[in-house]
Amino acid sequence: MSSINNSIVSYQRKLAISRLGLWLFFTSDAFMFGGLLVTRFYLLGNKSLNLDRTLGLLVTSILLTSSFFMNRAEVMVSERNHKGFITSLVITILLGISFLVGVIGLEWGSAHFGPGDGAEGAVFYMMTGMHAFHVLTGLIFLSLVLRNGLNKKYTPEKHYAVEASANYWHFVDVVWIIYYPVLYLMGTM
Amino acid sequence: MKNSGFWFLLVVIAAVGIVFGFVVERPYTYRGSLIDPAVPAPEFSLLSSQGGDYRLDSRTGKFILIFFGYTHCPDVCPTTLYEMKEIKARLKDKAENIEFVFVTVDPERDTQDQLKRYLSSFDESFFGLTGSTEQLEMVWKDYGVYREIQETDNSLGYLVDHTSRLYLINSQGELMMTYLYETTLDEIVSDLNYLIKKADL
Amino acid sequence: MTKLSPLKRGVVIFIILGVLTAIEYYFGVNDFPSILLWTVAIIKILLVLQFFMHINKVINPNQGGHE
Repeated sequence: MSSINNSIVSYQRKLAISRLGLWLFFTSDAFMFGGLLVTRFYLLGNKSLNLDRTLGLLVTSILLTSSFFMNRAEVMVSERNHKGFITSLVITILLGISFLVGVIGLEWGSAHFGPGDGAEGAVFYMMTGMHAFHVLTGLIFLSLVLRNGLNKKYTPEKHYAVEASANYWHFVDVVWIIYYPVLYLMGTM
Repeated sequence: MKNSGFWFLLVVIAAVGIVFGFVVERPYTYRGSLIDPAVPAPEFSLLSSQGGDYRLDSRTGKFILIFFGYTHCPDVCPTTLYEMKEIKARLKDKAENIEFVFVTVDPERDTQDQLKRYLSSFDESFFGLTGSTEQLEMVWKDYGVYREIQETDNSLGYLVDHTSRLYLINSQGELMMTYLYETTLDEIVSDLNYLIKKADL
Repeated sequence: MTKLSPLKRGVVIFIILGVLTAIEYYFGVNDFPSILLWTVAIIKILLVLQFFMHINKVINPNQGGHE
């Protein structure tokens, strides 16, 4: 009896440590994104970037919606709703791919400047590029979770991978919540 | 209600943001050398590269950016005129409320036609002003423009040393600001953007 | 907020985030002071941190389990 109790307690402990570890990673990653954020204002000051605002709003909405479905997936796995979990996870991944298509495909494709074109180019491509790279790694993470999910590896009691991948995805969303207004909405010409 | 602390924090942040966003107004700092109080811009009437006369007092309602230079100028004038062209482009619609004026410091060589030809390589809406040396001497004096002919040996003929400031007259015909040559494009555009918005033109 | 089911809560937060994004876009396009854009961004971040990332689980690790 007590050994089962011990393993539950030790799982809780491992969970707590894993969570802390992941948040420490987020803190560290946040410094990197923070550095790029400061660069935007240091190099460009109060100048606005010449970007397509409609496209910016569109990709932001896509990412926000993907976060919604990711949360949904996480809730469903904890409620033993396997079909709902898989569906929501797949939608999240599809929306994530759409975001990459929107930013790397459309935004980068139609930008009026290149990465070498002065401060504006450097700031825009570095910030969106770094963020997009995190979206890509997030999608890889989610694909692994999807594969494991399809193999029925997750239970309401033990699904830390889902929670962790969801947190990573939301972290990427949080970065974009700051980067979007800073790049597309702030500043005067 | 374990989340009440969170919502309280949210409301506080929203309140601070709204107060500083809507209620508190940060005064705008001009990037140029402000003339405070603004003085009525000294009147002049000169020959225009666009034909006929250009009378300053008939231009109220528009902001006027004036530069004193000459067409044989090797460096300062072309760069400043290029900047003026950029300023006009950056302001987009708002540029309708500005007139860009180039007053010569070399009336001997800068005729109306000469100015028209010279300015056409920058922007055809720019006004090039000339006149008799006596008329222009009064304008140079009124605006504090330094002007001195430098004889040279080369084929360019003589050069003219001159003040390189930009002068800004507001829509009420008052001389309100000058910009040193080193002022950046962004700074001038920022000021003009603010002034035009404020004047509600 | 705690009375709603977790799924419904997610929907409510998503709608709030959507409205905030629309407000932010309006502020941005109409040249409102940037402090307002920052305020909206911070509020969005706090909502995601609290309701999607469950940051309180790291601050109070003794809650255990999910939700």
